[in-house]
Amino acid sequence: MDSQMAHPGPLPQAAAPQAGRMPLRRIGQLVRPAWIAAILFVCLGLGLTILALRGGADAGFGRAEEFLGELEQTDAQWTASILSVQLGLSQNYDVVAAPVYAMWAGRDALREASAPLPLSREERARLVDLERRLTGAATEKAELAGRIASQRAVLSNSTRFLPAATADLLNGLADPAVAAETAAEVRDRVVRIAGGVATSLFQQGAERRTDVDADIEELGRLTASLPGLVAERAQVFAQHAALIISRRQLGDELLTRLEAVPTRRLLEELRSTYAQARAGLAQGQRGYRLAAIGLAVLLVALIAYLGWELRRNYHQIARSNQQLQHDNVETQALLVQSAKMSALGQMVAGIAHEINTPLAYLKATLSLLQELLQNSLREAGSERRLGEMLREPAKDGSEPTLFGDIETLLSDGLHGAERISELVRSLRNFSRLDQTQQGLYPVVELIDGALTMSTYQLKHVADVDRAYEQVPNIRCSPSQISQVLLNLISNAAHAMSGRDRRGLIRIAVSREDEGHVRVDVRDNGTGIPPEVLPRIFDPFFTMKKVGEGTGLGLSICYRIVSNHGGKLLVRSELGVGTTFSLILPTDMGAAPASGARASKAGTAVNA
Amino acid sequence: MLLVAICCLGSDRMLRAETAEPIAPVPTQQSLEPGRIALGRVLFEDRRLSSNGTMACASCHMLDRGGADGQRLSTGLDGRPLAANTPTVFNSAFNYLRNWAGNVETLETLIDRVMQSPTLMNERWPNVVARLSADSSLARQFAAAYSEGMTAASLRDALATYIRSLTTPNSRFDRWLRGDETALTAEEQEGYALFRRYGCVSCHQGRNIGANVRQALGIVGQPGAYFTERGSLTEADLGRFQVTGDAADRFVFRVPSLRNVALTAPYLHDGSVATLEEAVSIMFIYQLGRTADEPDLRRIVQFLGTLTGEIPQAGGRATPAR
Repeated sequence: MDSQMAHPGPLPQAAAPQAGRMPLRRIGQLVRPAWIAAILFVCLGLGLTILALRGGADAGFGRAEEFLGELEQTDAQWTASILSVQLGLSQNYDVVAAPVYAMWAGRDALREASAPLPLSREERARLVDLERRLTGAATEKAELAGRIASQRAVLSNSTRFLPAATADLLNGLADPAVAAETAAEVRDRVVRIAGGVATSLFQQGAERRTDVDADIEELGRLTASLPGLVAERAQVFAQHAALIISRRQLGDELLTRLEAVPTRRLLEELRSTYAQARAGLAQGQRGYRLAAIGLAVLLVALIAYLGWELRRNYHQIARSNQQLQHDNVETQALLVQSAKMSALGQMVAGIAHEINTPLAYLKATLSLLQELLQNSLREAGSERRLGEMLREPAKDGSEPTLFGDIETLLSDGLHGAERISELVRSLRNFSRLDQTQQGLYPVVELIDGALTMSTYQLKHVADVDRAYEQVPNIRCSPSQISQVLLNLISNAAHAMSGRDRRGLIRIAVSREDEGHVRVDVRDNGTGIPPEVLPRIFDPFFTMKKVGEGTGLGLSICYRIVSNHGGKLLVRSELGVGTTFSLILPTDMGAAPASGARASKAGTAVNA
Repeated sequence: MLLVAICCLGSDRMLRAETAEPIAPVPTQQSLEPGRIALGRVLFEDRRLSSNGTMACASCHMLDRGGADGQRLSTGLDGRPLAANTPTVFNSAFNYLRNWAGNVETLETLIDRVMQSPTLMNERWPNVVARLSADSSLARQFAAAYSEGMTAASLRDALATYIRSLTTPNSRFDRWLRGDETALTAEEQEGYALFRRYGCVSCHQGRNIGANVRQALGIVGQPGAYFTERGSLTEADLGRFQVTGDAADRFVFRVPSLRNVALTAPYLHDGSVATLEEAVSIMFIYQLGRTADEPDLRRIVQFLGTLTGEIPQAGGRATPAR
């Protein structure tokens, strides 16, 4: 049987003819932005890093300012130490002698820390100048500190000693060798000198100036003529008094000069220079910072855009996926329909041929009858004679009378009509097109119907052997199961065609188990090669020549059987034959197999 | 609580030693690199540092002569006597003023000056570097100790490191300062008390018991009275005036450190005083402007004897005899 009936029409194009694979065009659409985005991301990230580093370049200033702070502290402490020495609070002069070295070390550290800073030429020249002046100021301060300490040492000693020296002198005056008058005068002078010393020691500022030189001179004159010891003691007294006063004045001068030493001012100027330079840098960096912020914003925008793109793509993919799934279902339905149409086409052709035979038979019979009656009428000469002839035996002595002949012919004709009727009935069964309408049907009826419809296809090819057992009805869509059976029978016929001897199709119906019925369709055709066997249910897989079949038949059958909750199995041996086994549920939700299988006597499928 | 109290007392005494006292003890620990000290010692004794190869630092600064050489005036490179008595190299690390002139300079600067002085090394660093680089063993050691290898800077640093390591800690007086009441005898303690009462400590104070302040020799009386009386005034007698040219600096010298003074005779800048007793009495006359009686002088000299610390030697330090 050829299936050259035209398809009802070409399959409508699904959204993607190659279901499950995105065309390269669409992938390209998605990938290209990803590349651009990656490059942009890297560039922005690098830019941001660079700008952030440049924007944060005042780390060097921090270190320089740290050293500057240490210098300021050293200087302040130095001043405090010098004052404490001058006040007599500190007897250990290490504290005024050591700091100059710390100042130099601090200056060196500051210079080193300033070297890598981004300073303008003017700023750097200014720093160098300030550093030079600071060195000079520190050296001057060290000099003054040394002199202050030196002067203080003498002052301390003389101040401590003077009371004793005074007492010694006054005691010495008690010497009887000394004239009382002289003694009194000496005492007087001593008091004045002591007063001058006290003024020098305890008064502040301008009031400190005293002039005891005259008194000392007078004392010297007075005591020159006194006994040696007294004169000596007077000299000692005068010397120390003079030392006290001179050192006191010196101390004042040195302190004034110390106040004028500009170390603190120079350090302040250094600090402001660094601050200015830093501010200038910050200004310049503002641009970098703004750019960095701008880049950061761009980066965030880019990320947001990418995120949105991603979402969009995801939605697109979801939609495409949905569409594909829908189309897939549609396509399936269309394929099923198309296969059915194709099968229908085949079947209609077959049925047309089928009907022709009994129809021709009927026509022939009726035609013969007509001829017989006409011949008989001619022979009888009249209708009365024809009635007598009806019962007369034949001339040649054979049994059938004319009546008998007529009866036989009529019976044959009826038989032919009956055949046509059968076919039409089968057709009606198949025409119950509603796919989802399920009901309980006897599977034997469906098989017979399918066989009837295939009579033409099988007539010259094979004999049919039926082995039906008693089985319950199956719950199915009759048109679909008929389609499956037709397909299986058709395949069996095809397998056995083209050979010189007739094949044999054996159809067996048995009980598979508690809830299932088994239908075996066995042929002794060419068989299916083992390497091909796993693929026969694949769509578009066919052994037939081009144009002879779409290859959809078995895949459709498989789908239909699966939808019914059944199984479609195959066993084949090359050169021996193939057996397709259809296992269908008798009822949906039937109890599972109890284990005791129904006997399959007479339906052994083992080839 | 008792323990805490005792600790407080103990540390208080230590604090007393460090801050309330005008004199501080020599630290017993130093953090100097041993490798560099060793190299410095080699250089200190190396005559190749001088231009004619006859003088080393150790020529005048002998460890077993109190860090000086016991001479009144050492002999210079040219064979002539130097201008002033050689000061001790010991405890240089704690000197804030250098040489008899009392210069404010770092030890490194002093080393440079000594190197370049025509009467001392009379040499320049590049020549020294060239000469010593030829000594492969020494060059290798320098490469190991200094990342830059043997340069003027590293030679100078090695010398300075070694010199700084020449301290004399743990003198009896230091131990007494740290709280060891038994370190000084009663007379010695009395000597210290006199040292303070008379005012010696006004100038001889600080960690090095001097070397941190300058003073004129001859405070009391006419300026230069000491020299007038001694006679034959020299350039060196002008002291700091030679450096600053400031009239106020005439006859002004660095107050010398009294540490190890018992070992560093003869005394004063001209090395003219042979004994401590004489030195102390000169101090009394010209610096303090008073006289001291014999017992006091003796006590003070006894006290001065306690200022001798552990002398550094090639193999370690020698503890001072009692």
